[in-house]
Amino acid sequence: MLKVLVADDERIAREIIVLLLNEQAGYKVIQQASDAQDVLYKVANDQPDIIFLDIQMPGMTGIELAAQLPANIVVVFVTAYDEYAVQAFQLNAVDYLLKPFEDQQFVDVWQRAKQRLQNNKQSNHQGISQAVAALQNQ
Amino acid sequence: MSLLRTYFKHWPSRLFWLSNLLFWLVLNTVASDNTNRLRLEYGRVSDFLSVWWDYLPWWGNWAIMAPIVIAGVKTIEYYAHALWLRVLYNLLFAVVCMTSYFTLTLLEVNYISHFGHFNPSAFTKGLMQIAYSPLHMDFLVYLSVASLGLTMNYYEKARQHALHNQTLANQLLKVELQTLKAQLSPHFLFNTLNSISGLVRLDEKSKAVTALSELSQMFRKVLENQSKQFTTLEEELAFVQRYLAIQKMRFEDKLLIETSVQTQSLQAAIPFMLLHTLVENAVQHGSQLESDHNLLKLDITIEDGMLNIELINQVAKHDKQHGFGIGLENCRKRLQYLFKHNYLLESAQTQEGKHRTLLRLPLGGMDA
Repeated sequence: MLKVLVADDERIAREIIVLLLNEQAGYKVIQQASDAQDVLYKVANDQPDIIFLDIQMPGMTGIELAAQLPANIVVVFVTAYDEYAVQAFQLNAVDYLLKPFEDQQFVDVWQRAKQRLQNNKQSNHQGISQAVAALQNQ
Repeated sequence: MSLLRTYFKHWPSRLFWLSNLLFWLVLNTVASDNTNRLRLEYGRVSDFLSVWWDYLPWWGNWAIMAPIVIAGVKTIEYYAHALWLRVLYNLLFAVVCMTSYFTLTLLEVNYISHFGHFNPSAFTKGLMQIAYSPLHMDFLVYLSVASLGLTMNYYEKARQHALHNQTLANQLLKVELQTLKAQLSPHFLFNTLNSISGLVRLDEKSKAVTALSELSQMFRKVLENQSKQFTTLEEELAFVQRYLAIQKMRFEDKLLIETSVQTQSLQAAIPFMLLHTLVENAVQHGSQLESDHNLLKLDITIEDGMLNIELINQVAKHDKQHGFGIGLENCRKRLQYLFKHNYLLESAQTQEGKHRTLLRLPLGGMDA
């Protein structure tokens, strides 16, 4: 059973991902969070496996938040427009979704996230820390 | 051919010709009067009119020579850039001009003094006399005319230069103003498109259509106002309302919007998308809060002949920017360009922990 957390301050944006998740095969528990505090709380309590994390969120940006998450969580960043972040993600092989996205793009990202979860969680987290470091240095 | 064309391009204007003719005639009159008085003082037979006619070839010919010399000097300046070349050309030109001048003058003098007949021996004698005379008065006149030509040339060049600089400065200002003009933020655009895609997926068609329509109207306004700096408050408010409608759809209960506008202020001129930038800034801070029903209050009045816009919004306690983003910095620069110091843009935290932005603009836009 996979535990997924969808974090976005906008209800409709969260619902898009929840809707698409429900269409994917496999049994999942889906939770939602609308701000950084909420994310940290749910991460501590429910230990999700995969997080869809919006970059612009109340309280803290998704980038800052990702740096505080445990290494075993697979993070997929979601953003509307953020040149620098996207560059950093591409360089460090971090998964991301650009709003608005097609169903297929979501499915691809979802498959990759599951793969990462099975294989090398460690290297995924490394990529994220590198991307976060690159962005924070700017 | 091109030399000749350049020469005639530097030909003085008609007004110059007229004043030039008058100048030399006056000089001829003054010189003849002076000579006439001196002759009479020394008891010689003299009358003003005959002296005037005697002098006319000498002074009057300068009325013909001066424009020729001036155009020539300017042409040399145009063609020759090296100093030695300019000096050389000027000397050659001076010799040609003076020879022509003396020839023409002596021919005329000869013609007048021999009562309409030409006497070759008197002409040759006159030429020889001039050739052997020390620095002649007419060389001094040539120098004055040539230096007048140079002065005119430099003056015109300097004026052209200043005009060119002014044009460049104006263009630069326009470009700077254009870049300072607010644009719809890509964040807003892509987030809205994402929300619309969500509404379609969730089968909330009428909401999706409304959001698309509001977004299109905003883009239409941006396109319409591309080359304009100012709009009316009424139009700007309509633009802001569309923006707020979209943001309310996205953030639902996050925002509590209150607007109060004095009817008289609706026709006031306001820089396009300036109010939008302030509101966008406020919305970003309000929507980034964790609480719901965050106040965004817009109060527009006319006070002391100024348009008064007050915007109150909630901010997070630990807001790093204190509600002051890069958008506001650009607003300030733009206002500075448009109104010099005749405006006010203040932004500060109130005692109730809210953020207050105050904008005061002169009525009547840029001309105020």
